[in-house]
Amino acid sequence: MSTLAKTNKKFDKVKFKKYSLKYTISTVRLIFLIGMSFIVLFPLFQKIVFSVMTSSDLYDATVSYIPKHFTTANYAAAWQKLGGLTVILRTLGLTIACSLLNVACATLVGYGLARFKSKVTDTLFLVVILALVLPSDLLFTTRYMMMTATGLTDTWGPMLLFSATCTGFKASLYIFLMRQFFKGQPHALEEAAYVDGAGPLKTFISIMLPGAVSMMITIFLFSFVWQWLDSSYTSIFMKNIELISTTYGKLFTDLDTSALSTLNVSLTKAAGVIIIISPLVLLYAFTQRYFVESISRSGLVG
Amino acid sequence: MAKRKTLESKQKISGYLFTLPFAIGSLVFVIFPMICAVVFSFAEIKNGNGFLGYSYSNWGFSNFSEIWMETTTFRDAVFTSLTEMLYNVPVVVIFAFFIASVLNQKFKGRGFFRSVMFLPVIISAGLIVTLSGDGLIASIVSSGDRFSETGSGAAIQVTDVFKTMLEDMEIADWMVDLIVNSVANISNIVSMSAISIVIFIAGLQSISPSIYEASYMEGATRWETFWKISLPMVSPLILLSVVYTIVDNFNGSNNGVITQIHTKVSQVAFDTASAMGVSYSLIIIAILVVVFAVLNKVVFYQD
Repeated sequence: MSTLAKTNKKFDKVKFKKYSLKYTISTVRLIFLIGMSFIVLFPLFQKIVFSVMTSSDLYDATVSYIPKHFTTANYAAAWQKLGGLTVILRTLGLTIACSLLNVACATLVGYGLARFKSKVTDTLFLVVILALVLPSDLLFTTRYMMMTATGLTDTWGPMLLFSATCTGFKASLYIFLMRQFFKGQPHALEEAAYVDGAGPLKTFISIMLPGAVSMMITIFLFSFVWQWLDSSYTSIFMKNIELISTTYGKLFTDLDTSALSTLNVSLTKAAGVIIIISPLVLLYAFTQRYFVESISRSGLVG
Repeated sequence: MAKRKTLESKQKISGYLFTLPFAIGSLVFVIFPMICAVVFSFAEIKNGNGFLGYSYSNWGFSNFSEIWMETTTFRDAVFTSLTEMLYNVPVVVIFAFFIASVLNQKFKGRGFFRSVMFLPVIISAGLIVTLSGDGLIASIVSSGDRFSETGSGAAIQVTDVFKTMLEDMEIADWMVDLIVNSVANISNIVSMSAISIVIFIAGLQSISPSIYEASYMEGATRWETFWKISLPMVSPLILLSVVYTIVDNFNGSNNGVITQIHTKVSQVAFDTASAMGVSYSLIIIAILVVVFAVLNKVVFYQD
């Protein structure tokens, strides 16, 4: 009787120790992660709050997060300064075109580099790494000269050419990811297809491509984000075409230079940021589950 | 035998065809501009009617002596970005590895926290960096917005208390500075870590659970499995993440050197821009080669 109680007590003590440790760890983890999320999300929240405030709310000491005078005027102002629907749609068109070309090129080249080993493809892979490492500004000089000589500046031409050959901003990273992905895929299916008489192109399209969809979505996401927010390429090759990246500078300026207008500028800027990033956040919400999945299957480790 | 050879050569040809877009593109848009940049850096370029519509004269090292000896802006910018890199890379890699190990555990809400930690990939790139000073996330500490007046004031007090606490513990000064700076700089570190976190989570997930099970059976503690299993298994990815962070630091659009080169290109000062680009690229490549050579010896490869 007494021994049973003793063991029971002892058991409870062990159990208590075990569970208290477990709960302490998970609580600490939760607090830590909430803190980190706060760092990421707070600025976004701040911009959203600012974007619906009037300047009198900024002066009002009783207003911190909930505006007294809710307004959509900042959005209207930012929308107009960015150039309205035409500019947004033009940027969207260019971004989608470039991203699709990037994905197509990266998939083809990545597959070629992963599966067909020869001296040429080995050298090309070194060029991929080189293009990844070199600052793109080093190459801008000659690229700019070439584009002016052929009269392609201020058209979509340069961006489409860079995307179709994966030589644009960080584009060799896409080839690198695709190559790693295809390297991690098993050979057996392809060999079976070859035995059945399918050519390399047919094998690639009907056997390999369906498995690579999540990686392609990931690359599309990266490419879309970086093209949408790109200011370095467009400011050099398309500086006279109105895109978000060439009109966003107007968010900083106001014709009226009174003290009140600087406050208005910061409110308009907040609304502008929200307008610019909302398509990206939307896209991210739909594609983020492919993100880690695709990279963990890419065999980066091996 | 003959038939096998044709299959092989057929394979080779299709390999060339698959890689053709990048082969052409890299020749025209990477290799050729690279060679040109090296040549241009030794010349003085003016509008004219020579190669690609410009004229070249005064061959020599004058561009290099201009940017390295005569003016200080470029030299200072290079020095700043080197010191920043030296401090950022270890902090970012360690932080990313830590976050990835936490996010790799099983708990409720993991998916939410993961997607939040990857969000900086989107909200601290390109235009957003220019629009909110140092990137949307960095604006949390450094913005001139109204909220930060009270916010950063409190933050400074907390770090001051923290600093005196560390100093009382008699920790070396450089270490105190490193810790305090990292805390003050946390928003920047979080936004730079996003890609490395993705890389590390991918690596941690690819470790087979049976290795851990076996070591727990043998009586290993969590602490031991971390140092003896997790760390060596992801060490190739640490190399990848270090290289990525270095490149990202050097080539980021808010890097001082990059903005200088960019301004020179838009001012059509192609000769100076090329000299800057060539010097900077050589520095980057030298650093990467050294880092790769050193780390590659420490990295554990499974096979």
